[in-house]
Amino acid sequence: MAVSVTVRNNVKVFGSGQQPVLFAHGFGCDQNMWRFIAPAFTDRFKVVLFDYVGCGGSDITAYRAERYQSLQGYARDIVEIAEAHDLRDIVFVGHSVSSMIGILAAKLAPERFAQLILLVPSACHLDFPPDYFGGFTRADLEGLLDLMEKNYVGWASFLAPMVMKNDDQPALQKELATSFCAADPSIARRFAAVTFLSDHRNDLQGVNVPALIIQCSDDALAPASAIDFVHRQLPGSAMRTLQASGHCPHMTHPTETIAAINEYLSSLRS
Amino acid sequence: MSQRLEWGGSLAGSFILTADCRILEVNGAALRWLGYSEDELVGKPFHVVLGSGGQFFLQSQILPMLKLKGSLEEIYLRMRGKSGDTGPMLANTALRETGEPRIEFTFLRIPQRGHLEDELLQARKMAEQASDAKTKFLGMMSHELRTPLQLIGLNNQMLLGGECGLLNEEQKEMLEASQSAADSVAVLIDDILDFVRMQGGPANLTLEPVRVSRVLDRAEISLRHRLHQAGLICARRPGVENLSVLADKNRLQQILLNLLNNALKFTPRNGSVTIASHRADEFVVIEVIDTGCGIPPEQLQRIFEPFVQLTTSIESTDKPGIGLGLAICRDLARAMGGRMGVKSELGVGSTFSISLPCATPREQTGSAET
Repeated sequence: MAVSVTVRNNVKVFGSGQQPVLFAHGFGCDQNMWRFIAPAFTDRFKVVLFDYVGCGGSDITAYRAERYQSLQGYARDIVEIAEAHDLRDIVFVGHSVSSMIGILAAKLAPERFAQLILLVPSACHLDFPPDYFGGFTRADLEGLLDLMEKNYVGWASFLAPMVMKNDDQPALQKELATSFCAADPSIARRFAAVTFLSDHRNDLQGVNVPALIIQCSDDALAPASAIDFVHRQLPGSAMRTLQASGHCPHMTHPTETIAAINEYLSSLRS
Repeated sequence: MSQRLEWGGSLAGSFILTADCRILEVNGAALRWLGYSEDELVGKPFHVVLGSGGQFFLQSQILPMLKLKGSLEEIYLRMRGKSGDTGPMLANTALRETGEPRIEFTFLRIPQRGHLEDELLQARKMAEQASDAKTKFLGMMSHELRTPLQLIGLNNQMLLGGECGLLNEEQKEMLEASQSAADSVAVLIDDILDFVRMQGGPANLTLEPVRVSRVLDRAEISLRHRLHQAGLICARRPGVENLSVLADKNRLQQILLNLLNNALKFTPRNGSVTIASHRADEFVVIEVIDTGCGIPPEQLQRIFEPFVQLTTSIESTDKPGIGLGLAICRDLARAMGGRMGVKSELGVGSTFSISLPCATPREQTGSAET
């Protein structure tokens, strides 16, 4: 079990501390996106990085359309990673869609999670006027899926199988597939659909793990209205607004992001 | 507008953006294609010129990758001009981090290529839908066929057992022929069901250390008689049979039987079928080597694809099968963390291999490989 989950999700464990910090990457990237902030935690924590199936260095043959048709499947993967590496008392740091995946995982196995750090979370990206504004209309999201398809499933994925000489050469196919870091283009597209078209507003209830929500000053993907909704619905959650703008503060403003996480963790200890 | 951007104006559209994607500079071609004046764009967020979904794509895909890789090439985008969608564009972009960080963004119009890509994608979608429909249909058909087949078998057994009176030799032979035909159909249906199951999700596998010699013994014993009948020499080359692989022993058995059966089908009398094994890094490779008719190069590439049957060989016309066996082998091998491979030369023979993770620790294998 431990071997297969580790390979499936390309799990990397390092650092000299006891308590695990589990970093869960957002959509459109892989564990590489944590490289600007993960080193700041290695002296006090056990740092755990991984790739979702279909991303980065994961085992793409482990992709099962049925399992990953909702975020629940990805949440089960996180719980399995925690089980395989016997992670307890986890500080979970999830970016964007991984915030929701972390919340689902914390509901599946609350005993394993100590804190949830939710970077720019959104429970639903769609607008449902007049009560809820996720920031996007269905046309916007379909436009995104179209762009994903063109950029990921475009010419590269047509040519790859023809260029490939024999049965199994995923490494070659990976080299051919676009500039983006999708290990498999069609999985990336399906992950996008699951990420952006699902509505998890009802899953925020009944979460019994303390949470910090981090938002940026100007974030088009997770607008203030969507983040406020998560804050209001998530019992006892704390909120922190960064000076940073955009949707990837851990990449563009790592120092400020690290400080926000540290302050929250030490406030819980004092 | 800077001198530098104006220079490129006639051929490509260009923007220079701040790190948080506000427009600092825009060149003449971009203004012309988008239908804006410079004053209308400078200082504005870049997403005002991106089409539907473009803002989302910029934030979730382009910016993180720019930060990680420094530059991106061949990005397909649709842009939005003053009077609406401008059609497909191909963009290159780079992050300059010396001094104040800047994003350079250059794009070209690609109406023709965009159109072709749309057609290709549409064709691909239709193919995928057809493939799904086919899988569903096969699953349903297999179940529907199985039930009457079981009834046929049951009745044959009862008749052969004399439950409806004694049979003469001729009647017996006819019934046995009918039963043998029913058995062949049952094997085909099992193949189809296996294949459909693998398409629908993970095979139900029990992975455990399996000693290579044990599976090879079993496979050889079950086919030895038929190999001899077909006038073939069956040989075992000394290898690493004392090692264990991490596999589901029944499924591994199924793969080996399938490979041996194929070798049997495509190797003429007086030929040979050799089973060999060796270690390659963390994997054990088991090979089935025949001296059969071989596989033409153009078919070799597709040999593990479903519904591919050797067609050019005159010998294959009387070979039963629907081209699912190797596709099933490949899916099973993958599900066990392994892979299939093939080498072949026309008129000389073929070598099919299955590689599976070795379950014997390195330090115990020193003597095994000598």
